[in-house]
Amino acid sequence: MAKVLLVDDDAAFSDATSQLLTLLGHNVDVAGTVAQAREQLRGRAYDRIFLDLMLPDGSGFHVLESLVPGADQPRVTIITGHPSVKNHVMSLYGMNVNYLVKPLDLQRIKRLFEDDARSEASERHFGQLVGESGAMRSLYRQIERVAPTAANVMLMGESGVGKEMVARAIHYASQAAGHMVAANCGALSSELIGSELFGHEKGAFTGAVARKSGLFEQADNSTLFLDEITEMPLSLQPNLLRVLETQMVTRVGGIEAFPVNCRVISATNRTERQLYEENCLREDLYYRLAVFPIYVPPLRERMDDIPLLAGSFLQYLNRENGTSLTVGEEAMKRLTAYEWPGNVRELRHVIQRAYIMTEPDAETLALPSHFSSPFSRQRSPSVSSDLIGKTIEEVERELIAGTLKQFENNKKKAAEVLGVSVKTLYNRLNAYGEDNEVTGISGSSWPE
Amino acid sequence: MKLQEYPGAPGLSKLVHDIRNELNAIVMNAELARLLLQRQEAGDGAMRALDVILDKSSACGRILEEMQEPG
Repeated sequence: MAKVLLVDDDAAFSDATSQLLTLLGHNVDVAGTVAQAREQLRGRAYDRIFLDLMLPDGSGFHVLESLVPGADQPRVTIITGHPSVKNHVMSLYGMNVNYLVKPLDLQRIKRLFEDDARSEASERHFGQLVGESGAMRSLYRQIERVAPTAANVMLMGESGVGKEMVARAIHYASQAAGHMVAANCGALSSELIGSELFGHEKGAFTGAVARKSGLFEQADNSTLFLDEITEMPLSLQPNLLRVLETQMVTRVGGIEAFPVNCRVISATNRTERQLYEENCLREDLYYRLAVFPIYVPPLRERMDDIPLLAGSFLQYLNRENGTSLTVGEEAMKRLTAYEWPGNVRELRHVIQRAYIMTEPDAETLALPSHFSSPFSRQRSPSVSSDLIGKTIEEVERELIAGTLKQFENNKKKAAEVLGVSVKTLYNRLNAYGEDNEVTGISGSSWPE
Repeated sequence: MKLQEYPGAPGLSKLVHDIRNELNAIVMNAELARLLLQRQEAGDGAMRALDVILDKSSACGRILEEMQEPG
């Protein structure tokens, strides 16, 4: 059974459709205006919205705009009299929005719900995540453990790995009542971040013409997802810390604090080491946010999932466009051979681009001749900060010692790996005059 | 004569839009009536749906008449 919001000002249509969907087992609310739809969306989480574009007090697009960005959004079907709206809808609102041209019929509506159910059942874990690799199974176990608790979670992982999807998965598994509220700390201006997070009272500052509820308030009894948490200015972090410690919020310009009950899931693409070295997150705040830290693996650590992910992206495009393209054997080999420095986001981009470029009468997806984007730079080994400040000789000694240790003091193997002759290796060890100290072995003379 | 060729059709796209809206209500009420009858739950619900179909069919007829009026 789905929770459905039907937004249409034609009572003859919406009454009948509402009754039909109810008879089919769905739970339906009806709104006849943009204002009513916004009101309904404030109070409930919906699985699907049917949305007329022409409403008495505005456009259906105004309803779309009121959906919380990046949140646990419902699927949206635009009901339109203009087939040309398709491209506009897809380009503006992405893959979670499709359209049906009037006049509708029951079969097409039923198919939407069947597709939703099929899509959810197609191995999407917690309604969000695709993948059966060991790395993902480990992730699922962590989500299962933390979801029923109230613990704050910090998601760590490279850009494009799907940290927001993992946050949605935790929210889904927690069975919280409302929407997950999401915000990108990097997108909030430093002047307004306090107001965004905690809300403000009327007259709190120039332009505060009315009381505004903050993200914490909106996420009460639910989940607040703070992406790019390390982009929050250090000067404002104590305010966030205080809310996390006390579970109380005071609006900007307000006097009284009021209680909030929400789990905070934060995310960063920085490593734990970077958090420490770059001093971008207060230590006390880290411990409040990362009660349960979760590492989201990059795609190169879950290459077994590429066929599933590619298939899932293509299945969606096929469904939206009434096509039945598949990924051919050679194409799949190429997809699984690439390292995907841009992670799942880059894979999805490649599939979407290839889908658009594939000839209309083709049966298989035509991949581009090479995969790359301006951002999918190849990872180059960076100089470890441990090495900075050391002489070349010191670094060489450490390298030799480490290699010998790795190969249990087998000098022949170590020399091969180091790219020198065994004699050169002995000469180096003798030159240091500290063979015992460096390698822990004796007898450093070159066997003639 | 095709609609696009109709010489006296000001705001043709609006007329098409209006007809689509009426058909939308007609189809969904027909679907409702059929489902209620299939489930033998017809009662007042099916009757109301049939009334809407008749009303909306009349509305369609009026729109078509407007289209035929010389512009």
